[in-house]
Amino acid sequence: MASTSAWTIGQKDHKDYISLLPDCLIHHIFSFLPTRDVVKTCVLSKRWQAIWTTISNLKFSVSSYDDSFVNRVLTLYMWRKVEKFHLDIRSKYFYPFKIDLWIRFAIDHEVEELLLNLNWWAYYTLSPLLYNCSSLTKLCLTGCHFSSSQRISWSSLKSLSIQNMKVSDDVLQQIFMGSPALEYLNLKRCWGVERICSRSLKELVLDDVNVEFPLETFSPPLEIWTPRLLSLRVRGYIYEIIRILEASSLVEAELDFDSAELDCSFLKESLGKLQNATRIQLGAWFIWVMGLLKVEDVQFSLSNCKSLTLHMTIPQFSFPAIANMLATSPNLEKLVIIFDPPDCVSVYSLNSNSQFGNI
Amino acid sequence: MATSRKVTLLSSDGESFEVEQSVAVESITIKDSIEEGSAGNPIPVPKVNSKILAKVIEYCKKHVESAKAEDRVDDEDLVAWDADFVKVDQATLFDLIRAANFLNIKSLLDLTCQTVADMIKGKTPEEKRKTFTIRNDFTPEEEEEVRRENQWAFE
Repeated sequence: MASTSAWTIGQKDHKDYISLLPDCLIHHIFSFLPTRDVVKTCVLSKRWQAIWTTISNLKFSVSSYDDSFVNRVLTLYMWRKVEKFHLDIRSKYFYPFKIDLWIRFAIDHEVEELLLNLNWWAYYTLSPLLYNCSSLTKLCLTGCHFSSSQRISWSSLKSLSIQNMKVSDDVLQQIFMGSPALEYLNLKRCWGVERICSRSLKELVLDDVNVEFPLETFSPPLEIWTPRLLSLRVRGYIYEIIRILEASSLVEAELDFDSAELDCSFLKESLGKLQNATRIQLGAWFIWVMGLLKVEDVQFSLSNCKSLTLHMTIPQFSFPAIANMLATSPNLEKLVIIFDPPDCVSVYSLNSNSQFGNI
Repeated sequence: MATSRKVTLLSSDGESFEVEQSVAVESITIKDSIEEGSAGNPIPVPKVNSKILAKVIEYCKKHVESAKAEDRVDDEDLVAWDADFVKVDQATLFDLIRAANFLNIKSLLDLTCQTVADMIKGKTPEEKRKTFTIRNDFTPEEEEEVRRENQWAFE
């Protein structure tokens, strides 16, 4: 029960407010904590002795061979269902079969949100049980390995984040075919990605995709076919070009990546696909290549674009590009220019004769 | 829905707050009662006093405005604003948690609960008791037994 110490008058912090909360709100606070911290609340007072036993979210960080804590909590878990199951394996060495067992526990308990964080060099191949799970709505995988040509069925999955993993085309297409409700996809530092093909996808984030392990000097372009996509963000470094085949529902696009490609036709093609977007953000590399285009080359119109954010590094390369962008966006309401100075120090001066002619 | 439509919220201690409907419907509770037509005018908000309701309205206004903002630069500013917003005394913080729960404002509930979670994380039981003024009502024998039963958690 709440208690007040003698000198609490006027001292707003010296009352036990937290113990007065109902269990459901304490559980909500617990859902932001590792399970180890949650269990330790049992000694605080009688009020706290058993609150932890009815949690429905489990977050484990395993840093050694010793997994007894995890096994103990799972044995004591009392519900039929688990909402969130987070597993963060920090140690270099572990037994894959143990992870399989824990995943089995989560799946048997109709897990909705599963997070599995491993080190890629641990070579953990995902348990086959995981590929067929109808309760999952959110899945985050880091550093695991997919086995190829496994039929995938994630009928309720809405959000998928994959990081530091190889996602070959056959696996990715299985994912799309098996996830008819998928709305959010985030691929970060993944490789092998060739085609993004989803009828349901609304939000796509690509970050440093196909950067690691460039196996060929010529990589196929990364193709995007997403008729319902509302938001596209591409960041980091891209080795090959990105070809947007279908994204006519796009409302916002952020193309803030660096590339070795200098293919202006791909750039014009990409921008052409953004015709329905109202918010566009372009990174410094994009602006630099745009600056190499001549005004007459730019034949598309971004008539729906109301907000444009442009990054630039070196002004005299950027101003022609900015002029081109302004020329293509007649209905622009808001323009934001962000200056990212280049790493090397260089002295440059504006040449007022050429840059401002079109503005 | 007209963007400038306003509604009036009435706190538990009788103070009126006029807000844009787009701000008020950040609360699913209020949104549902407006849509069902059972809201009345002004909309009564029992259990939430004027001080807390003012803070909740401030939060909702800021988040509705930021959603309209057209560039991602605002995301970091919003995170910083949120961090400042929760720098309050515990009484206010826990009242905000209850209000966010009652009014069903998920982002505010998550923000305030995450703040409390950060206050709990990594602390020893003694430190937790001190932070939250929790009185230890175990007898020494009882506490010893609880610790023994749950020894595995403390290893």
